[in-house]
Amino acid sequence: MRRIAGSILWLLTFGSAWAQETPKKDDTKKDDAKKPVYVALVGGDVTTVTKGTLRGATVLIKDSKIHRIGHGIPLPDGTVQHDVRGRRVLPGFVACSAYGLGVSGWGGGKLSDMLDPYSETVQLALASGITTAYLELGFGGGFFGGRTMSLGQGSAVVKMAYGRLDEMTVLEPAAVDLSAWTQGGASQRHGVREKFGKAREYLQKLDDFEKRKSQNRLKPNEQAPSTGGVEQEVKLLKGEALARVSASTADEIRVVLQLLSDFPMKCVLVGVDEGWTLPEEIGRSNAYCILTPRNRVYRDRGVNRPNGSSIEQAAILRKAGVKFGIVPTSPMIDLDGIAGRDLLNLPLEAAFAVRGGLDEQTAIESITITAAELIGVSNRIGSIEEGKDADLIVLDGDPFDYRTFVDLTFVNGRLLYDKEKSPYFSHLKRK
Amino acid sequence: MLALLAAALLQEAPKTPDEVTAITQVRAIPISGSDIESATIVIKNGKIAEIGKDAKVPEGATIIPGKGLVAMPGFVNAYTAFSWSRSMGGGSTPQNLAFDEFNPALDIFDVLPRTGFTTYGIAPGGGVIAGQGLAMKLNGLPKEQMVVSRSAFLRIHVRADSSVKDMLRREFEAAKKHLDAEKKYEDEKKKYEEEKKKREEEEKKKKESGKTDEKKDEKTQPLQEPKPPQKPDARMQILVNALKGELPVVLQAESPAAVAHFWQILETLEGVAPRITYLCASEAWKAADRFGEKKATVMLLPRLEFVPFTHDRLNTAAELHRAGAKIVFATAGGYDAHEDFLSGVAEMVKYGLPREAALKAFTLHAAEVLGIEKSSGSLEAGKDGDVVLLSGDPLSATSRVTRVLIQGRPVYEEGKP
Amino acid sequence: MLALLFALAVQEAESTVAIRAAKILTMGPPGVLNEGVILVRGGKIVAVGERIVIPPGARVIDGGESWAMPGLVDLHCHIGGSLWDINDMVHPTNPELNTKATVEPASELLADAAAGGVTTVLYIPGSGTNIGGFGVLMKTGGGRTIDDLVVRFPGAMKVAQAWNPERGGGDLGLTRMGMWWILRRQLDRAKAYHTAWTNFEKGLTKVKPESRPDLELMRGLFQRRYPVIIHTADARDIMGTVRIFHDEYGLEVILSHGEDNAYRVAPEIAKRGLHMDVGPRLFDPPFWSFQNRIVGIPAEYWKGGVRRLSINTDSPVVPEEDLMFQASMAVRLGLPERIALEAVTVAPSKAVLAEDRVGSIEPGRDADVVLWSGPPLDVRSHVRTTMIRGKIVYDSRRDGRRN
Repeated sequence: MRRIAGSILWLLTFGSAWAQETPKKDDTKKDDAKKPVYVALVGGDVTTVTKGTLRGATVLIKDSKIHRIGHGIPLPDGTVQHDVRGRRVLPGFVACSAYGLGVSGWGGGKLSDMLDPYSETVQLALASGITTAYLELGFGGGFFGGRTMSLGQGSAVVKMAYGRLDEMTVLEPAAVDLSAWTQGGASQRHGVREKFGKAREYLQKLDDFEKRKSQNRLKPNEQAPSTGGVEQEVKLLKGEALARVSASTADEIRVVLQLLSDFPMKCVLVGVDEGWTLPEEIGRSNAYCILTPRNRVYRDRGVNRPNGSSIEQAAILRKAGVKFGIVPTSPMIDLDGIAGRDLLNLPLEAAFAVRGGLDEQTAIESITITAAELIGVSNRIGSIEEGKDADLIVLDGDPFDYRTFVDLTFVNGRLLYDKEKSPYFSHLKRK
Repeated sequence: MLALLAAALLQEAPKTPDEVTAITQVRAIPISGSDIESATIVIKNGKIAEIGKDAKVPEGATIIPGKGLVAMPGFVNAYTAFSWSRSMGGGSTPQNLAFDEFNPALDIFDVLPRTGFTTYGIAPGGGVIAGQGLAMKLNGLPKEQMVVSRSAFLRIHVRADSSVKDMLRREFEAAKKHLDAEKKYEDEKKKYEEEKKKREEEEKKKKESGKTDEKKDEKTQPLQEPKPPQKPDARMQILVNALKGELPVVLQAESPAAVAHFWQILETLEGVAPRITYLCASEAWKAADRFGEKKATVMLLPRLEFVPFTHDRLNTAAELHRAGAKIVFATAGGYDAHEDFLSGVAEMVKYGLPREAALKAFTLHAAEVLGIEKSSGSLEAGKDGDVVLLSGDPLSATSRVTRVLIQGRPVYEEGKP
Repeated sequence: MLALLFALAVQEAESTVAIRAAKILTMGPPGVLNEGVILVRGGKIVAVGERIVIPPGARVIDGGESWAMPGLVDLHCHIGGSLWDINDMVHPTNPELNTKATVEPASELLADAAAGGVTTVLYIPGSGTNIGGFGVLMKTGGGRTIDDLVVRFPGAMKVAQAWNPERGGGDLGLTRMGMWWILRRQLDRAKAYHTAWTNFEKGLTKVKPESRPDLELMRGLFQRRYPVIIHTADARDIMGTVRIFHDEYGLEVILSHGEDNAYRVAPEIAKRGLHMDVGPRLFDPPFWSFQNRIVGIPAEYWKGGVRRLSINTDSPVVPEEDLMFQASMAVRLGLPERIALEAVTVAPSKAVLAEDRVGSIEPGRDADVVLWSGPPLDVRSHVRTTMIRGKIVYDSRRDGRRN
């Protein structure tokens, strides 16, 4: 009996392997269903953002990821090829603060439950080269998409994956809102401090518990310490979450930096109009900023120090080593006719930072990789690198040239926007 | 003697006569098969007994001359809102019955048959999982006999909203648990039955051979009959039946975004096969690829939409059909909407929907939405005698409805009050 | 100290200044010059060319790689004063009012405008009533008082129909019927006044007409000494404007805004040789096109035959200093580059009958010259120096970057 069982076992393992070496006709049919889809963008100037620009190169996409980048890449049979010679290939733009893109009218609760993958705003975002956005619930939506009411704290990183709801939500919630710190008074701040203090205590206790556990020195029936209602703060201190807070004036910025010096964590300052007056302090804190170069805050001449906004802010902060993303004055799709101030022209806002002295490399990073980093998704989004998501755009010129349009937009390897086939801009031909 | 008397009595006992109607020489559009140029339709005791070119007219039949006319199955409007309730909740009330709100004495029912619509689905008012809709025929009989099914479909109204999604998830997951428990019990019971049978046979063999293997008897574990799972309450049972596919579902959504959110919930439940008709108010064409992929049934108004912000017409029904979806036309409007219905369908065909799909959309496919396709939706032997006679082709602008029979009973004749 | 500065300023104006630039877009007959020189004296341009000899003793401003352009001209500006002073909304028509009274020469908004290359603006009343009053054509800097800044008063008479006036001037005018009646009545009164005075001046009557300050300025419209600038919206409003102000009353007309598909009547505007001043909206929302297209408004006027075309900011709707950016956006949305640059220089100056003063770098014009760090339409370029009437009112290195 045992001998028979043994031979059966042998047959099962090696026999099946033997069977695999000669695939039956049925198996190839199964393989077809899982065959990878290859798409190649051939001959363009590829701005990887992180590793320079490759001229006249090819980007090969496999399913939803960037597979290979380079010159003379062999293309597998059946690769769908796009001739992009003379044009530029960039990672899809990242709007690190946005409203009303792909969010349906009046809903409630989580942002991911309110997404509308068929919204015109998603199409317009793709037409503007935006493939990923950090969305919040708040008054927004501009001309389209309805004004979404803020019915709860909601933020999410969302891809503009038209028609594919399941591919839209990338990260939710996307940031912890710390506005209680800046908008509240002393008692609010005391409350915030207390929470972070508790969180720190918890982490110390946990560390101690783990140490003693590994040394078998736990007391009888001792349980791990509980977070006791400060889970968010614990995540922040551990570096597992991102905080976000609005701060415009130098005072407001300093107040946030104070919190960060007591409790170091990954934090994004939004607005930062007077950041240029204290660049080294911001630089030392490692806080990220979200800037709007054209936001004008008038200088109060009665105050005895530099104040107000400055077009040179981005350049100044860059020198101090501050990392920032850039968003326009209207961080939504605005179709009421005023041109160039909303997400339809995201790169132009970064071009204004260049006007103010910022180098173009940092400017492009501020709407791609750095923007992705400060919303927490740079491991897969924001640059053209092997293994990253195939979110790519093809431009008909320099991204900072006011005449440049997006020709093609890919999200997760799929072509979701083609300027010639879409009604919005197909009538505008670049000379 | 007694036997003879009995026989005589039996012979003379008055027999209720068969009610037989025959429509002769009519051009029939049966829907279930090809059109028949000159057909005879025999209806006996409310059911279609025979339909065909060579069908014989039984003796004593009431004859309706059909020469020059066109016969179709009674039209089915699978989703109407006659006498909606005032209760508009946001909750889950699958146990609510449209039947309880249904008022059969509405004036509109007196005139609706003129439009050719014999059969109606009536949805319950209410919240997210609103309740069960009914199917009824305007056969002129009391309420209970008008209603062909009190539980024809489950109406669910979905929105892109966390509270709605959370509720649906909760309810479906609870129903799924029951479904899984049920299935587990079925599997275990089957195994038990097999094992029991096996042992009985072994016992039998042993008794016959006279051997007893005490050692073996000790080792065999006693068979445990599996316990049936706790039965779900009436409310939950409805959801279980919906997930099993036994109770059709009509999913109402304002836009394809809401449908996408519903699919997101459904995809987390493995092994369920609900029978869903999607009632997507507008822009269903945006999700044509997904509807087509799923070979879904989509219910629409027979009306053109526009390509957004243009004057270009868009035939949503044709787009969906092309992608592989099944089309049903319905209207929640009043009398006028039913009168104008056929011209809407004609426009659908004019702008690209194949004729066959268009005609099925308010007959057989609509009957399937309500789960009553065995009795309605086509001119076939065995189905209800619901027949509409028209003066010409149903899609012609000059055709009129001249006569309507429901379950064999004449409910409308042109010219007669 | 102030006296010294004042003296220096006077001296500056009287001595010769030579501006060198890598490229000069004169916007006039001299065309585009490479490595050219502009000579300025007494607040005027005296010469411009590629082979100019710089007189000894002249102060040289070496623009290096800069591009020189004439100072920009905006026909639709509301930021000359305090922003709250531009609508008196009791009567539906107010020809007796003007914006000169509200000018704030030291305004930060004007300083920012100058630092954005905008040197001449038609500062007009708002659109709260059908006739808001008269606007003043003025510089954005280079002086301490309004008189220092004025180019010409009146600049133009401001008329508004559609949308804004409907918010209530008190009288008729809730509908276009009422509005046109009010405007015609006003024009008739003004015309009669003008006729009466003209006859008296010519000696045709001996009876001196009554003097009415509210109608006095309107005489200039009939004499075509300055235009009427009309805030209009859709095609119906443009046709009404064109019929009444141009066809019936023979005035010099500047049509302003012209959104909401109004470009469909471009041929009617072109036929009459009228001027279209587009902005602040440069595109109509997609649904207006009935093709879901984003249609560029200035490009459509151009395609429809309109050859007198300018672009504005309607500041503060779009900040005044972004006038050049408006031109860039117009190009993006289909307007040829050359036309867009003309639309913010010579075209508006011609429309407001001031082309002898501003809008181009030619001998005899005011020395309003702007040096850009690169091609002016490129968003990455900024203004390095702004000169108004020969005086440097903004220098990015001296004053710090404003834009």
